[in-house]
Amino acid sequence: MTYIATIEGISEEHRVEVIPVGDDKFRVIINGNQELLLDVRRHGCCVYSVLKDGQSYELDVDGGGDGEYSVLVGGEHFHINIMDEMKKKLLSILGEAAGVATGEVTTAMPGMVVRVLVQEGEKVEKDQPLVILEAMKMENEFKAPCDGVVKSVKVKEGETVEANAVLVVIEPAG
Amino acid sequence: MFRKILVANRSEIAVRILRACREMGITSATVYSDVDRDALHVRYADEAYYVGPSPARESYLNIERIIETAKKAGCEAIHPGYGFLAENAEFAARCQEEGIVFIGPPKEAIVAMGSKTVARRTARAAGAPVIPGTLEPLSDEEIVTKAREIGYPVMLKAVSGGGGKGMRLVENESEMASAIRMARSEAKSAFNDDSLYLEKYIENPRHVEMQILVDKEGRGVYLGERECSIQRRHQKVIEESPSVLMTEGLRREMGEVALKVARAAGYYSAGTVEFLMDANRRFYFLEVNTRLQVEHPVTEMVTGVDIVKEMIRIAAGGDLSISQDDVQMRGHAIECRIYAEDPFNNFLPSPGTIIGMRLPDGPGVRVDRGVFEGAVVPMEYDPIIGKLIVWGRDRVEAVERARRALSEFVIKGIKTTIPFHVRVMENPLFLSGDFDTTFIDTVFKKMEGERVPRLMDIALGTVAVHKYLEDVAPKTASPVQVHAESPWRLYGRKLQLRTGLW
Repeated sequence: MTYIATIEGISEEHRVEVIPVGDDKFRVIINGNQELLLDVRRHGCCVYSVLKDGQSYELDVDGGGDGEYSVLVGGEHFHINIMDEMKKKLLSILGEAAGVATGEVTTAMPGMVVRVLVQEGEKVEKDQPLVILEAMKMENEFKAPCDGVVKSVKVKEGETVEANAVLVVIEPAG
Repeated sequence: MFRKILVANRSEIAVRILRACREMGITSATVYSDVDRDALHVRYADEAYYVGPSPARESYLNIERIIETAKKAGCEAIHPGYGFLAENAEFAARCQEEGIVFIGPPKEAIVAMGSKTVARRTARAAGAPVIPGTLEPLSDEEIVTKAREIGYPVMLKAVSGGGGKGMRLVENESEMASAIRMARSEAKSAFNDDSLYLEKYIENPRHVEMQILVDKEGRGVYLGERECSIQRRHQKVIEESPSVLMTEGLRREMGEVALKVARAAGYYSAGTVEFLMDANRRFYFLEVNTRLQVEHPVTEMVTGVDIVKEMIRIAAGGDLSISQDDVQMRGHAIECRIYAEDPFNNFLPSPGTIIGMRLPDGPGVRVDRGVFEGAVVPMEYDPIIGKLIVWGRDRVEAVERARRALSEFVIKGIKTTIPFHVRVMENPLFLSGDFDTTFIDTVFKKMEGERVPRLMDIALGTVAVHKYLEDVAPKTASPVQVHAESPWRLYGRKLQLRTGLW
């Protein structure tokens, strides 16, 4: 089986082939040139003991659905999206057809909207503050990504928002 | 001694104080908000009482509700922990009016030291060196004018400040308007006081602070320093004791200055006098923290003094159990604060459900924590979820222990500062002791994106095998034995899928 994996924070994709060779052993080929022979034991839902050339590793693999996994090894967190090659190809074709929205200002963290500084229809300059969000006692200013006009404001003061929520949509100028 | 104490706080510090109560044979009570019914401190305490909705100002900051709870439960004293009501003079005053002992300094000392400008004036009068700047609060216009006089870069600070809130480093005048707005807004929401003052920015400063204990008779000791230079957003992330910069003579000098400032302010209880130290080991008074501090365990590890128990004894009118001659610093301790934050994304908050947790243990390791497997880390409160404190015979052994303990420490489901600490404990500048408060912005930002390729391959390989097993194994016989799943993990995963937090 062949998978395409992307690691958060690393731009390039990785092609990973998995070939079971029996007795809990797997041959894994990364990007066609790197071959690992892994002896894999799974404990409970999410803990793996992996032996590679006698080296022992303990890993936690937790799935959040949609091919999103969090892998923890030696104190390192890897957020990995992994999909089989065919599905990935299909999705990328669909994605291109749908097009990508621009000018969306989103938040990576959940929080409470402390202040909304712009209104719909207002002209804004790049880096102009739009919304102030507070989480865990820390305030964060969200700024306009470009010059443009505020197309819509998706949040109200005092409202609680989830991670990845769209706060404001900017129609880029020009 | 008290028979029953109310701990008016939450998370790791509430548990820490509850532990002291249990050791002293004192019955403990605590409080909780809506979101904290399942919190660890509620389970740990002998008694727990609901005090209101999740936002802090409606629960943990609700002075009347907490006083009323203490009275109903028959508590003779309240320990406020840190944050929340710990440095709230009005709360200390209300305790006094109701005949409840506030486990902390007298309200007059909180008022005096809570105003950073009054503290600066008091310290200067007591003969402590202070950082050049203003001794009074300023208007927006005055800030701009004064900043030109002092010369950029300057530190803009909240008069009622603490914990880095309402504080901005301003490099030049063009940044000033935005800095004033953000600082005033943060100060207003954190302290309900948006007044600001200015200090000259000390280049490459080290943050060194002195722990003191003073009883109600005015007898005081200093328990040595803590170096707290590894900070993000002017909040500490790593602390250690002793400081690599310290000498026996400098420690005595700084300790005596700290006690002098405390006496000038009429202080008793545990307290911390903070200093900035420049490259030439000249130190300047920064502020007094009139509370138990997050990083108090490093001092406990090197001196063997239980600071929380001393605080309780002092509050009950007892004498200090130690004299200055009894204070011997032994070995080296390091604290790594575990925040629910993403260190690779500007330390942005990462609240959510902890779906898995394994704690480090073994020689020289202490963990103070407020969370457990299955716990929800709420977005309403401070991001600190625990602390790892290690002790070694010397700094090298302490760092090696920290590294070893961090490799054992697993928290899953939310992002934490653990991978940050792993990198710092391997960083040559940290190891050599050659660092200052700019470490995170300069040194760490450069290593931020670095991944260990060896581990990346293992991570990739294992996740692919896992995916393969999920995709293929259900259809054929599973080649890998799978043991029963912990119900907490299932619960956590369900919750996580529902909230979409990841």
